[in-house]
Amino acid sequence: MRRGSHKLSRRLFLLLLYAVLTAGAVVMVAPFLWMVSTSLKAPHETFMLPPIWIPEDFRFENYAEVFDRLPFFRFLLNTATIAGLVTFGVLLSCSLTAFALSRLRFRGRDLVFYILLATMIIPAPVTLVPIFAIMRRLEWTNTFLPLVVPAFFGGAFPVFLLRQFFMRIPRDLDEAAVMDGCSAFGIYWRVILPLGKPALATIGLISFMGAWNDFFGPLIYLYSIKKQTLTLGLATFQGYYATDWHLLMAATVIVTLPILLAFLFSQRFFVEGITMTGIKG
Amino acid sequence: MARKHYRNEIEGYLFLAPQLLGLVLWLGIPMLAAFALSFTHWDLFGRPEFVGLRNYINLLFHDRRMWATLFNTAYFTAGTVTLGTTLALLLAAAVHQVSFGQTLFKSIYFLPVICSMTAIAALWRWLFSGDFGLLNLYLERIGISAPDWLNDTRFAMPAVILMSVWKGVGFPMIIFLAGLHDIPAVYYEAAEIDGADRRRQFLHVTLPQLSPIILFVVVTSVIGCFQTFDQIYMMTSGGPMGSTRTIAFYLFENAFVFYKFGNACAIAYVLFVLLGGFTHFSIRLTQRWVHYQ
Repeated sequence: MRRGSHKLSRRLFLLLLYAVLTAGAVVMVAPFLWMVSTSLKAPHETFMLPPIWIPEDFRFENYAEVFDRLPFFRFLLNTATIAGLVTFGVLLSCSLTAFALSRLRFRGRDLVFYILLATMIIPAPVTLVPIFAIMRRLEWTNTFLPLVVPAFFGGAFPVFLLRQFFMRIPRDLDEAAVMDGCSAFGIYWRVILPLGKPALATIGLISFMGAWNDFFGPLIYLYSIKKQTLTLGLATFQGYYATDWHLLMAATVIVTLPILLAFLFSQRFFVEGITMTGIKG
Repeated sequence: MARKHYRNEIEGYLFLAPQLLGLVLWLGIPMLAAFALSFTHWDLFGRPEFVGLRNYINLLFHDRRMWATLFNTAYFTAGTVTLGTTLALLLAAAVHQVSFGQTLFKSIYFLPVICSMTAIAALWRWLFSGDFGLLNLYLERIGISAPDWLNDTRFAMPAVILMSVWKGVGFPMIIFLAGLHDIPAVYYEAAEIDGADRRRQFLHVTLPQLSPIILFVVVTSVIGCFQTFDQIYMMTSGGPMGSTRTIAFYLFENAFVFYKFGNACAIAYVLFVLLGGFTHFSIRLTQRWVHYQ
C-alpha cells in the first residue's frame, strides 16, 4: 500500500517535472520563432493585435532587402576569416606553450605556468586603452590585424586546458619517439598533436565561437562598412533602421543562422566541450 | 641505460617564445602603461598630461555617474547571478531526474548560449518593445499593464537582467548537470533510508555536494557580469537616464566617446581592484564554507 502510493507520487512528480521543463523549453524557443516570424512579415503585420505568428505570406524579399542595404555577405566572409585565423593562432601558439609546460623539463617552467595562471584574474578592460593605442600607432586600425594577431601569442585559459590534457598522454610515447630519433619538435608534431586532438578540437571550437560572436573588438577597431563583421554589421543596421522590425529581425536571423546550423551539426560535441571547460577546478 | 631527458632550457623557451612574448606585449606593458596613463589626461592624439591622483579623486568623490555606474553594475550582477544560478540549478536538477528527452532539453536550453549576445540583444529589444513587443502583448492579455521596459528608468535594468538570464542560463545548467552526474547514488540511498523526502535530499545531499561547482559558477559569473557591455550597447546605450550604464560601458564611453583615455584607465583600475578583491574574498570563502568530498 505504501509502496503503491510512493510510486504514484513519483509519477506525479515526473509529470510535474516534464510540465515545468516543457514550459521552460517553450520560453527558450518562442523568441527564436518570433524572430523568424517577424522577419517574414510585411511591415504593417509587425504592428497587429493580436500578434500574428504565421504571416499571411512569407516575404522572403525582406532578406533580399537586408542584403541590399548592408553587405551582410561581406560581413559573413569577414567574420569567417577573422574567426578562422584566430582559431588557427590560438591552436598553434597555445599547443606549443602547453607542450613545453607539460612534456619538457627545464628551469623556470613551473614559474612560467604560475605566472600564466595568475594572469587569468586580470580583466580585459585593464589593458584596453594601451593596446588600442599600440594598434593605432602600428596603423592597424580598420584592419583585421588587431583582432587576429594577439591570438598568435598564446592565452592562459586554453594553455591551462591543453596542458591538463597533454599531461595525461603516457610519457612512454615520448621516450619511444626519442629512441626513434625524434627531436622535441618531433614529439610535439608526431605524438602530442595527434593524440591531443579531442582537446584541440574543444579549444578550437571555443576560440572560433568567441571570435565569431565578438562584438567589442570589431566595434573599436573596424569602422568602414566593408571591414565589419556580422555582429558589428547588425549593430550598424540597428543604428540605421531601429524600428523597421521586419528588416531588423531578418538581419538578426542572418547573423544567428550560421552558428545555429553549426550547433545542430555538432551539438553533442559542443555541450561536452563546454562541460570540460566548466569543470576545470 | 641512461634515460634521456630533455633538460634543455633553450629548447623549452623556444617553445614558450610566442606565449612569453605575448605576456610582455599584450599584458605586461599594457598593464603598466594603463596604470601610468590613469594618472594623466590624454585624448589619444596629443601627449598625456600628468595630473596625479586627479582622475581617481574625481571618479570616487565628484563623479556622480561613477557611483551610479557602480550601483548599476552591482544591481545587474546581483540580479543576473542570483536568478541565473538558481534557475540553472533547478533546471539541472529537473533535467537530471527525467530520462526521456534529456538531450533535447539540454540542447534547447543551451541554444541561446551559443548565439552572439549582439543578435540576442537585438531580438530582445524587439520583444521588450513597449507597444507591440511580444512580451507586453501577452502580459496585457492576462490583464497586466506592462511598462515600456527599455524606456523606463525603473524597468530597463530588470529587462536587461531578464534577457541576460535567458541568454546565459544554459551554460551553468550544463555544468551543474555534469556535477549532478558525479554525485554517488549511495548518498541518496542513505538519505532515503533516513526518511529524507525529495526537498530534504536536495537541501542536504545535492546542494552540499555541488557546492564547489556552485561557487565556481557564481565566481565566474560575477566576473563576467562586471564586464557586461554588448547587451547594454545594443539595447539601451546605458539609458534611459543612465539607469543601465555599467562600469564597462562607462569605460567605453570615456575612451571612445569622450576621448578621456586617462580617465578610462583609472576606471579600468577601479574595476581591476574590485574584481581582485572579490576573487580574493571568494577564495577565502571557499576554504571556509565549501564542502569538498
